[in-house]
Amino acid sequence: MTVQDGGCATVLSIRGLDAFYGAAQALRDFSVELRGGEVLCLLGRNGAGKTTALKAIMGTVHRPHGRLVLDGRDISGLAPEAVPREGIAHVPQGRRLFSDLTVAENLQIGLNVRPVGRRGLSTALALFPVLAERMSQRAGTLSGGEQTMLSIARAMCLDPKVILLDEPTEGLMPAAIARIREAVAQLRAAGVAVLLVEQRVDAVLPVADRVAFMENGTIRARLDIAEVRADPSVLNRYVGLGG
Amino acid sequence: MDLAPYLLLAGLEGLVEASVLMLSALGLSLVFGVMRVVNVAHGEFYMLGAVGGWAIASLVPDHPALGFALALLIAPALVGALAIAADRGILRRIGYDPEATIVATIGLSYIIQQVVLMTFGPDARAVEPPFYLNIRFPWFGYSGYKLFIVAVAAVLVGALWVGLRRSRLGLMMRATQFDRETAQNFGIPVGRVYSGVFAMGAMLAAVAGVLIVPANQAHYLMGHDPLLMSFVVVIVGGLGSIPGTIAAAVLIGLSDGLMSVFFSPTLAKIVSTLLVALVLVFRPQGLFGKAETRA
Repeated sequence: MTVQDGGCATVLSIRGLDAFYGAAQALRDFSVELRGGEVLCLLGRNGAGKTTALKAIMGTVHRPHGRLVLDGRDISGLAPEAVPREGIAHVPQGRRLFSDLTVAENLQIGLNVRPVGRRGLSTALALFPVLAERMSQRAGTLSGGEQTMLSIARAMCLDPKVILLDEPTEGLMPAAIARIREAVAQLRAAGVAVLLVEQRVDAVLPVADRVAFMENGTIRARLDIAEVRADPSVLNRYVGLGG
Repeated sequence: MDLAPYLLLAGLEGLVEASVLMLSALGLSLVFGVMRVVNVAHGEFYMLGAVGGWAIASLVPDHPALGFALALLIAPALVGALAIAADRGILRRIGYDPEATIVATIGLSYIIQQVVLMTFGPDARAVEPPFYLNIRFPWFGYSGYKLFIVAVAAVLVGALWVGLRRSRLGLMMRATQFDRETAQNFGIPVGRVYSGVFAMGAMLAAVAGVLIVPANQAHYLMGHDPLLMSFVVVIVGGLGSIPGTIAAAVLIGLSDGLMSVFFSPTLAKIVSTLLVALVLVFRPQGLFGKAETRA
């Protein structure tokens, strides 16, 4: 592990990541360092490359260049299915549940990824107790908020070192957003590195430690969260959104 | 005229046909459901099972039961290995593109046919049943072997159903069927799942071929009808729906048996084709299929 100035260990280091959809380059020289127990929020307009960045980390888009180091181990050349086994979990945009499968089966798919026992499941069910009551229900029949909870719980079943969250508050009511924020805070407290993509800045600022702005497939600016909290209008300069 | 014996005979023949059809159509449905590949070479895997079964059984001509048992084990395994090679050598290389895989599997079907023709010749080959048992009904005797086909098919379909619902591999297959990318994000080796599913689909067809060859004969062109009927079953039942495929196979097999006994086999085929047309017009997703939804 690499130790940073602040004393937190770097869990995931990404350097010079490029990604392509066919011949079109969607991500350029994407570089971030993620430390254990911190939340890095990626902001940017639609099409800025935020979702592509997460997919590139998971290896599900073509990424010919770049280096990914997880806990000191180079994982750049791993097949996409091997990346989650190393401890990187992805909560994709739109939840992408296996909606014909039951809640229990969706969670089992998360549990099958890594031989880490059921600690992640216990934590997830403590956080989202409603899921325990819905175990035999098909995932597609859950409410939007419950589906998001299941999507996060499924990722937590990996007991991950890093979790990539892609717009988890999209389309949710305020009460559900608060629950998701609570989940992010709990992951952070458990030492998990969180890379959070969001459009709703107000929803994530309370839990974010750092903010990075993306544009045209690359990171344009990085801000300390204290600076943003002190002057939320700084966000307008980049994404046209205020805190 | 007493209808009961005719009805019973037609029902039994229909049940045998439904059993073979169910195995073959389940293979096709599984491959389409998980991989979204329309495998036009599926009938040739059925034919390879039958011809391979004959070739293996003829190695032990004095022991039909042993020869048949070996055929039932080895021929599907060989066909499964060929399917894995076809998946890795052809389908994976063209990225499982829906249109390209249709063209590729048409080519594959011709290659398999011609290789079998050149290797075994154009003659139809008979295989002795593993046992002779005449089951007496009040009006007629019926082949015990044909009922054995029904029993084997029922056991295989039951095992497949339980495997898909209860096993880890089944869960992986169902997850891959629903969303390939998310399955990958959860460590499911989609490439290996595809190879396994393509092999499983081919093996189901091959088992059907081995089972039917003592009742019919093995021939290099015998894959056409099972392919057509499997498509009929899969379309009527609902593409990728296992329960739909089972129900449609029983429905079409029984109606085929009844029509063939009371009218003519040609009329039976006309009715099946008409059923497909009606389903495509009024319920394109099939009788048991449903429109795709994604949470």
